[in-house]
Amino acid sequence: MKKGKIILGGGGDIDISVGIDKKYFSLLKNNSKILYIPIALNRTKTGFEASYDWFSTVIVKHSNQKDIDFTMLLEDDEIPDLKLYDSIYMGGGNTYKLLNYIKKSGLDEKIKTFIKNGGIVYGGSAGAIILGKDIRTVEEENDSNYSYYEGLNLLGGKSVICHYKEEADKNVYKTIKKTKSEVLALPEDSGMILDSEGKMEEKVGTIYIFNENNKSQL
Amino acid sequence: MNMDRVKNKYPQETELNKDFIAQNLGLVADEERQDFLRLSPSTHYEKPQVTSERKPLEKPEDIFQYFDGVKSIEPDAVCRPKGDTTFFTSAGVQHIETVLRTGSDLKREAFVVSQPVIRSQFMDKIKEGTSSSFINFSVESVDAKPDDFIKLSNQFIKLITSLGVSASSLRFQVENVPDRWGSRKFTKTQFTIYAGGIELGECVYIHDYPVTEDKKISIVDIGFGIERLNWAINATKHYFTEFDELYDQADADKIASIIDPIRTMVLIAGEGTKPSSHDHGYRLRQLSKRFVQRSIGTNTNVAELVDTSYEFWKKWGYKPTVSKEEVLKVVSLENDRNYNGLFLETLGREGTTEIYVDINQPTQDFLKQVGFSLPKDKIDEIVKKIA
Repeated sequence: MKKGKIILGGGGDIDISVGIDKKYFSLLKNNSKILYIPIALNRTKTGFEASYDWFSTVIVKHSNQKDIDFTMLLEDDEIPDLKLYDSIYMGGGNTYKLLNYIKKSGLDEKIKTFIKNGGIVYGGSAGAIILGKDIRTVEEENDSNYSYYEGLNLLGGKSVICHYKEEADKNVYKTIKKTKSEVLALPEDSGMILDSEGKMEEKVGTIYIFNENNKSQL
Repeated sequence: MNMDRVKNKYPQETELNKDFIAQNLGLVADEERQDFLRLSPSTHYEKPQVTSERKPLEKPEDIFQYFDGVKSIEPDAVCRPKGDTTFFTSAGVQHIETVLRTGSDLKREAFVVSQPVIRSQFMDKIKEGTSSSFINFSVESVDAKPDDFIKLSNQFIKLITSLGVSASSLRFQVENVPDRWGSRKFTKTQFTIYAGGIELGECVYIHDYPVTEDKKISIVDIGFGIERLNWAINATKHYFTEFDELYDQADADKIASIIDPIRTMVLIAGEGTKPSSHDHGYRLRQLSKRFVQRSIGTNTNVAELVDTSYEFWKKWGYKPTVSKEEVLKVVSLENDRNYNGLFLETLGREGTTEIYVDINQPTQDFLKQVGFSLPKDKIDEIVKKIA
């Protein structure tokens, strides 16, 4: 049976995440269908029209000759049968808002099954962080008193921080105390591909791993 | 009561609140739902309302009369140029973006526009009452004052009630929400009107729209979907009323899901866009795929759908740049391409080794070409399977 994959993108706009995006689209076959989840963004309904256009641009930039299509899932929508999709793409925004939706809607368990059944899940920024063990790596984003902080824990017990810059080191060490997990720190131009068990297969750019005492390159 | 005189003068540069709107529009709390307001009987319906006759809006002029003194303008093109907030015009208020793009100054003025719009996000959620394109009738006032907002909102309420909707059935919700158009961030005071639980339209006051880094301007934006308003108040039998005859063939949601992609394709192709792997053309391709998947096994007449859609949009002010015949050609060929693609996809799932054939041709020619690689009974089997 085909094995699923997890792709983590460090964040940033189309031209910055180009390396990992390219890898992601190379994993998709012709006629693939993606479920695009931009729920981490704070937008009004009409505001999501620009998100639709943004994702079209990502697809068009990387799909080459492949015919790739997508459906956008918003908060009030009924969750579709994930068997109809080859991949799920979760974009950036507020990590707590996204996790709150994923947990309350029951999508967390569906995503886990989706990967087990061979699906490809791309998490960019907030989308990547929720795939880790604990999202308190970005605790400052919890501006609405969301109660969920335990992520989907699909990365071998590690948590994630995106848009990583060296100035954030002190803060990363602090969050390790809270999350009690190693932290993967992804700069904007980096990304990684993991298997369905959360083991790294490939990476783009420089990625760091933090434990309580050390920071090292992956 | 003179609704045009604003109580408790509000400065133009602050967001409005619920009390201000309620007081000036004659709204009171709805006893049944705390977060909703309703029209106060003492100011709005002293006499019982006659509601038996509901009149649909059939042309832009039916609405212009309610906004007497506000000039009407031509709609923007549906396909927007690169660099705009969205690929397609998604609301009449985007005309302001056009004004800014062309380097003109935003000056104090009001206008009404019958604007065809596309909302791609609904493409996969089509049912009776929800569409990926519609006429967004918009009333805009630039450099507007709170009393402009009250006056225009009041005119909109009058329009709805004059269509035969009972004033007592209307409900209102007021919210202050942050929003953004591209990089421009602002706050909206949003006042949504409902009848029978269905949203009819929105009246918005933006007090802080950033024209430049150091210049902000206030905007009133009143907008509603013509198809939705007519349908929601039961003035028309169906949401896509111009296709009433088709609705007899299957359930309303199914029929709407077949009509919708063609209607939206006509808007895009009508401005000369060809299907492609780029911005506007990619959307055309996506819509066609949905039409093909939804219409398989039905006796849908694409030419008829294109013809009716084209005339409908024109009636409401759309200015196509290519002929109906050209639109039909583009739509039909793309539908064939996507059917051909579906054929190959199905064949692949059946385990047949890849065959090399051009999908960019009419299905009849495509199947002939497939015939060089596959026996006729296999082709028939796949065609049957798709259906």
